[in-house]
Amino acid sequence: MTASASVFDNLIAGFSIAATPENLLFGIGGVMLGTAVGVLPGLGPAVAISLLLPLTFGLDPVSAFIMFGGIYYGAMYGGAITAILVNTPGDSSATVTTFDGHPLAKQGRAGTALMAAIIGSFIGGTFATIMLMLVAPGLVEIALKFGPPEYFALMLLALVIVSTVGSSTLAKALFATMLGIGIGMVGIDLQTGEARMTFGIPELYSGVNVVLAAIGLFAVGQAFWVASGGLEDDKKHFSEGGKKMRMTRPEWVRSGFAWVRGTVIGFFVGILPGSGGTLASFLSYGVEKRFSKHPEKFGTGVVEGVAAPEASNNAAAGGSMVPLLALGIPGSATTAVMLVAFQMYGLQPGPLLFENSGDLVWALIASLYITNVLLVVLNLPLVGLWAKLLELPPALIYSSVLVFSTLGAYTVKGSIGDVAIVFVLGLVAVMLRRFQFPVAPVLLGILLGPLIEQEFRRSLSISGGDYSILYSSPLAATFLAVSIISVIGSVVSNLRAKRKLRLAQTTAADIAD
Amino acid sequence: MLHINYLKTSVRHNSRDTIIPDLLVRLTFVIALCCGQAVLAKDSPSLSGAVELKWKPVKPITLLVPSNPGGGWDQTGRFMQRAISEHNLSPVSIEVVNRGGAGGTIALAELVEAYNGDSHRLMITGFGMVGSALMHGSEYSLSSVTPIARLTGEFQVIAVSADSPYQTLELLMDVFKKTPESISWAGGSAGGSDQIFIVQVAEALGIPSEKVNYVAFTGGGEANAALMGNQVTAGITGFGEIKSIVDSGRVKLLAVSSDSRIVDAELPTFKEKGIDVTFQNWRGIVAPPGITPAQKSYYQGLFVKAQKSELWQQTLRRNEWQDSFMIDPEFKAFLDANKSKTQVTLASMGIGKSQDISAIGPYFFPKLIGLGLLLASLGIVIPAFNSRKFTKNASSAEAQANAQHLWKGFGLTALIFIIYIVALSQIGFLISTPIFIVAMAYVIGSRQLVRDIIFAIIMTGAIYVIFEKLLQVSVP
Repeated sequence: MTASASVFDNLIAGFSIAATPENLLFGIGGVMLGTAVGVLPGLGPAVAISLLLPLTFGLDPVSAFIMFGGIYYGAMYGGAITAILVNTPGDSSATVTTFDGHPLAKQGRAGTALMAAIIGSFIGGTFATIMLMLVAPGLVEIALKFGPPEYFALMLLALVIVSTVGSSTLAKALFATMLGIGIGMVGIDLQTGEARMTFGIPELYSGVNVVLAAIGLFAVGQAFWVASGGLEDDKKHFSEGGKKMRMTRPEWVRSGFAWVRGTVIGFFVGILPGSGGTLASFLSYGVEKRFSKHPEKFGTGVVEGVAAPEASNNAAAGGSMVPLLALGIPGSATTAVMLVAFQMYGLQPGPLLFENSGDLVWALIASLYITNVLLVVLNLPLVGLWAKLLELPPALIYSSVLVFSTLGAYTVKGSIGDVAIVFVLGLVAVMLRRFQFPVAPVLLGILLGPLIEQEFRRSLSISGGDYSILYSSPLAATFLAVSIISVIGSVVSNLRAKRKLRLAQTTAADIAD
Repeated sequence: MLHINYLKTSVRHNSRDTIIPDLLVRLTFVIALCCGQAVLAKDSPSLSGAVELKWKPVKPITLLVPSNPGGGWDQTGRFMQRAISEHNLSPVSIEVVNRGGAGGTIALAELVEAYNGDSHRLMITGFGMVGSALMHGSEYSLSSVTPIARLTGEFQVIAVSADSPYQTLELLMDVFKKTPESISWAGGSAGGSDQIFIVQVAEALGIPSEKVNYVAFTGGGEANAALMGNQVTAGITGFGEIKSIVDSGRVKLLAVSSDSRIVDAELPTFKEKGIDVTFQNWRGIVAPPGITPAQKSYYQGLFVKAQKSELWQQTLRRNEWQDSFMIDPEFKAFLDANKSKTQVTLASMGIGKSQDISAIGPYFFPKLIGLGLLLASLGIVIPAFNSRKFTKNASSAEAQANAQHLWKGFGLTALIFIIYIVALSQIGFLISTPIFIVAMAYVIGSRQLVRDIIFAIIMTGAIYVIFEKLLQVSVP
């Protein structure tokens, strides 16, 4: 990563190594395998790469990397397919895609949603690769400025912005968020090693991870909901199929902005170790809703509600490569597996990687571009085929969703205990939906709650119990201020909406009398 | 795997804590019962006392990695898998399976309970598991399994960022001795090798362990990032884990926990700086209890060969791991000594006993959340009461009928799913899955039985092929 003049020479050299017909075949294989694994609930990119790692023994490093790149992007996109078609995210970072993707599918526009997801993935992935190539070292310095107080403030901001997403009332959203944070606290406390709220059950020691939560709350929850007969309208859409792919001109414009905003947010969130694609997708959805002229339509099937999170989680995937390549620090489950894969080929990611094996790094970057293109080229023609799945009878679709969810939960750690956790979360989701509570904030609480707590306690440890550490840095202070403004804003608008409703009800009652 | 080669004999369930009559508790209990706590494998040691001298594995060997993908144990397992397979050291293939959770104690319990006597299963282990097992009051320890070999060792180092005011160990230790709390130490999770090591250093200096301001991070990567960004005073980590960052000039190492300067001639040891502490994090391989001596000696022979292999030696060099290879009986004695020393340190730290330097403790947040839930509930209930007079007529007979229908379908679905979970571990995936699909389809409203049965059989077959054959993932 020297002067930008030589960047392109290096990149061209990288392409010349990576773009051989043989490597392209590995790339195609990787995208297809990745998509197939990503479709299965619970099996995200990290699991996909570790499962397929032994297949690459004996390949030369460039072929292996191009295959990993394909698996990574393929698995990210695969997660969105079932999110859109059957309201069942393939992995946690595709959860947000269900909010508008599935309503679109219900309107017979599954094809449109899938297309918005693919193009978003492509834009997010490509932009992240360009940024990775041009400005990685500088960005790393920013990422290192983030200490526990900054993380605490950022996570709190994310929770505040997003927890009101898709909610009916503020109190119910708050309840769901708190419930999620509570579930997230279960397990062994990182700072003291104490087992909290585990009731002595060893299966709960490692806690409820986000992947299990997404399967339980969304996939199993959705199947239970349908099986309970709670959704007559959910059965209707299947007859309509979903082959329509067309987007209207205003939809293109709105999606365009969503792709760009989602990409930028995703990339920067991705750079920060420990946050990842799920947070990125939630945040970009929340931001998109705030920027929208018709926020009330979010959740009913707007294309930008799919475009933003899908661009965002792929950009986050690229962003997480920055600390890996520039510092040798894996910031996510997937990059931790990538690190092992690198080391298998005798490469030690870190600042010296570019000096020691520059040609390989450039080949890797070139292969990220190539697999991004392959993702689009391979998956666009398949959109119609995926949408055709909706023509299967819903009874069979949701029975299969339950089987895949069971397997997904089991495969994460090979534990039947995890299947039980997923089952209980499915019950919780049905209860919440029955009483009109939003489910998404529960997942958000499970994801962010433990992070917020750990960063808070780390901050206080470092400061020796002095609370001023939480707001003394400009970055942290800004995040906190925006959070507070955001909370006040929601409360005020909530009260206003309530007063309007009450007035309307009073008038209605008067008329009835 | 679908082979049911375990005979259930008796069921022991020693619950250490009071069991709360909670749905989850009961559910897990049912599952635990069904999995069978004590099982006998078909190839357990013969009771006649005759020892077979030659034994060879006859099917793929499963290597359990007791953590999620990524990280030291996963690296050890996957590099070992590669060394054995590329050098053709084993007649059968080796499959790596990750079983993360609770510092490895989940995998340890599984190895002892579910795979007793299973001769085709091995597990990666290491120092972290010794600590976790003690800390979480696990029923099992490494004394419960069959030790095979110690593979690697890694020394601990103290590191500071390149622009830290503490450029030598003496400077850092002076302040540490005077005001221990002012030095924040970044490392891995509580009770792991990083914390145990720094507590041993503190004790050697006469500093009480509760004054060590230890800040736990989820992984070595995050701790190293905090160190580089000057978020903490110093970091404790394995030499191999931080070597590449040191080479970049971003951090500086102050001392290493080895006996002499074996990892780096420039780097002083704690011993020569007057702090009498040596410490080595280690990783190794164990087998389930109850395998025959012939099986044990086969595996020891396998790892003696693997350790000498070119790929493994290259792995050790690249990761800066020490070749601290050791087999029985030394390994067994080492494990016992390692356990008792760790026990002493953990006891003095009071780990797992609700002690937190940040002064707010592990129960501050759960209490806060409890309060939040209460407030949110009030926020839901009070407006509901207030608005009742406006919506009196809302609950019509039709709505009630709908609700009843909902709960009936819901109860039935839940019941079928519980039966399915139990059946998976009892009669296996291939039989229970088609039945489950057909039953669920019926509950959802399908009445085309023949079509459903055909679909269920095709689906089950497809899943089985994809998972077991293509991905090589065991289905329950």
